[in-house]
Amino acid sequence: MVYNSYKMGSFNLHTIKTDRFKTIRMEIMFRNNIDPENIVKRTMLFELLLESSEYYKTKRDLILKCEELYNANIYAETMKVGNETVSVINYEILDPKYTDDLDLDEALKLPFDIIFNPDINENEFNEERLETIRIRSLAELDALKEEPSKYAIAESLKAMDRKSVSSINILGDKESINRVNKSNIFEEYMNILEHDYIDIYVIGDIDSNTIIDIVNKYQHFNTIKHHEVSLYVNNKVRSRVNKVEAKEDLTQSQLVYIMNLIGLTDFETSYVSHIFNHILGGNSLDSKLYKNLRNDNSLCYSVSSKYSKYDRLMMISTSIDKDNIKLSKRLIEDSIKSMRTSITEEEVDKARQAIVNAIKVSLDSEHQIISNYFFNEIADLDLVDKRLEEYSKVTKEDVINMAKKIKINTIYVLEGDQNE
Amino acid sequence: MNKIELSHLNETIIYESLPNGLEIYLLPNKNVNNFYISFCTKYGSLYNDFKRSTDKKYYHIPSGVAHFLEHTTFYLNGCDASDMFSSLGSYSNAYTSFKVTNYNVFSYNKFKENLNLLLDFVQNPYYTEKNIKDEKGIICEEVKMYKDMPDTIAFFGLLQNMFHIDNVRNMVTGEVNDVKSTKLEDILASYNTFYHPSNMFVVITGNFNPDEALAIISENQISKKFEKPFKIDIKKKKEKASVVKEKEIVKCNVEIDKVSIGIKVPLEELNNLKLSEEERNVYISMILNASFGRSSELREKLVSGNIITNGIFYDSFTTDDYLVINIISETPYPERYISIIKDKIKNLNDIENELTRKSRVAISSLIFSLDNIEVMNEMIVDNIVEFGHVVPNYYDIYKSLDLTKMKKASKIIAKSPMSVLILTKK
Repeated sequence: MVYNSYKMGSFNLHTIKTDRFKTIRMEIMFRNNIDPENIVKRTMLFELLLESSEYYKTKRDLILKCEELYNANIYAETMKVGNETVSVINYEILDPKYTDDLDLDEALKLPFDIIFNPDINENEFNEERLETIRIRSLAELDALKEEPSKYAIAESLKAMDRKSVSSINILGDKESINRVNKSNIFEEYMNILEHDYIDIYVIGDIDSNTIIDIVNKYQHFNTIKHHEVSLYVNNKVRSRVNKVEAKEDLTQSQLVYIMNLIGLTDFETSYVSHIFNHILGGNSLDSKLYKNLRNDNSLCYSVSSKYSKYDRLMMISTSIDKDNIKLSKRLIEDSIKSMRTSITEEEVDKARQAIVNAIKVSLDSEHQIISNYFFNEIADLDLVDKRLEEYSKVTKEDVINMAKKIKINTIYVLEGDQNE
Repeated sequence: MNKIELSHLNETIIYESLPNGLEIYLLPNKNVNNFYISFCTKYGSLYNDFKRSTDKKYYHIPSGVAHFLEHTTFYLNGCDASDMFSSLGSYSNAYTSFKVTNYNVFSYNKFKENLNLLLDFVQNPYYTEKNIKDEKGIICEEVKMYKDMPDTIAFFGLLQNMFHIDNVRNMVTGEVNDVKSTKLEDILASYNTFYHPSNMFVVITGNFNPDEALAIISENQISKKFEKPFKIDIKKKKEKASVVKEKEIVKCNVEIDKVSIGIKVPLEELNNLKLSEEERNVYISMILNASFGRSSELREKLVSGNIITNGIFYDSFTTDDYLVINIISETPYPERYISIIKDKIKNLNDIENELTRKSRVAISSLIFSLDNIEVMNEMIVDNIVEFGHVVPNYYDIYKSLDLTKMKKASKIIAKSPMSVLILTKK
């Protein structure tokens, strides 16, 4: 695998040459500091660009074009990474050598056509298509309630601090979705083209010079950016635990803990926290939470913790019967406490192995390989070899020490009141 | 050792059947770092009345025992199989569906240890009254979790309205009462019937040495004693062609109405088309894709008319006697949507004008899948469960679609009974 990075002035181009895949993947990434007022516009804009553009007036036109290009796959996503927002046009095509007649130049042109030739008229986007996106966005917002565990996490973050960037939903709220119109979304489009940092990644069995030529032929980014972007959110710490209870007409109850991570060193932030999270409640069936709540007390089907690095938060969530809320709280708090008192070398080793495994697994995915380089570029994520080396240095004492830097901020209960 | 060449895809699956009946399917891929191993039994939630061919009486179990059994299999004497996989740095998991229970492991090293552990924990079970009791609370919470998920309600609610007696109408987990009534002897009866190697198979995809894999599995199986292979007799239920209810409205935690439309197509009629099972499934998939897929005119019309908020989701699967088609969308205008979809079902698209493009899309999708060892593993598992063998010739099927048969299949679907379930806000 050969990685090259080219600073092209208004954007950076990254090529990753590897013959391990039968596909070529391109990700065009736009990033900037989160602007709470405009986050919804941004989310809707990227959906709108794919819904309708100058050459592909309808989504069907675009999909037909993709089918012609041997079922090319294109989609947009906007996500929140700490204080930043990142919007990505993801695009994947078959490597032309596996097709009869796919032309690489023509295939890679498609995402640029969409970005630089939107469906606009006199500085306004097509209103009818915007309405389609508005209806979809409102539906997605509503759908959040249909997944009680996700809904509870979103509500718990609001309960923690409504003003914190960590509690912002990229889907916004009904009012902000309804405020988006054909003019202000065009302003956001221009704003993004002019002010976002842009990185283009291309991975596959490619020739870097060919990719540079093709990208240069079709891209029209033309502003150089110098402003500062910062990733980490400094969430407030509470002197007393914030306890919030709500009710919904659901079969199960939802329980969420949000914890601040206070004064972590860089090593703790990048490495110890991941090991800590894995032991406490990571994606493993032998975590402390899983053992305490599920295995020993049969209280739940799943319970997990999540480390939100750039928010400097850790969250625990589970779904339980309402009669077991009190016991579950006690067991969760016991599990957190046990991170200070009863960590074993074996637990640390298992967590390390699982994380190393996850890193190695990530190398089988073009998207994950790009992601590794991207977060190395924009954040403090070390490259794979360095990460493997650093994880080997984490000790039991590091994990116990980190446990002292965790403080419960909010306990959120969404009580279901149906009886099964 | 036999080789199954995947036509025009430049890939070969290695196949071997051991003396105890265990079947092995291997698809190596040296371009990836990881391997994915599935150890499956052809036993899922549909089989609640069964016997060995030598037994006189059928054994009846509550719904959800296959899934319950999957959970309890992870308990070992004094430890848990998940812990042991975790010590190897591997991901282990399992799932139960209508027709299969799949135990799997995903890792990048310690191939031999992972493969042996997977075979050993499934073949050396430790079922106790205590484990059964402990697991009941966990599974009851899992059932309740699904009861709060509109998608599950839409899927199984529709099947309950389509099927009179077929077990497909029951949730894979069973209901809370089924879980509570499950006994140790139910678990043992199921295990002793369905977990014999002759009813099981191993699928391995990814980075591994196939010769070594065969050697590890052979040695492992020779070291264990099994009864002689036997036939399993599953009691058949004669399911009527009609649906139970043509329409139902259910209130639940949705914000926008969710409409699920089911079509119950008799396989007997589709069989008259003289297609193989795999050809039949490809034809059905092509018809549904052309009519309701992302590039269909219908989808475009429904989205631009604000009738649906996003896409049309569809799938199909077979029971003993029926092909089930399920079409789901979210809509603020359920009655209008239902009327449009029903009209479309009466006039399904064929792919006459887009044959080249659709066939190219299908073949491209296959090539896209080849890079993904999990998807390929699932595809092989599905093939074996559905057809009893790996389908080597998808490429050829896509390249030789018979439009006349496709039109006939559309007509059979059009006249089949339908059921509609609307989920609406409480």
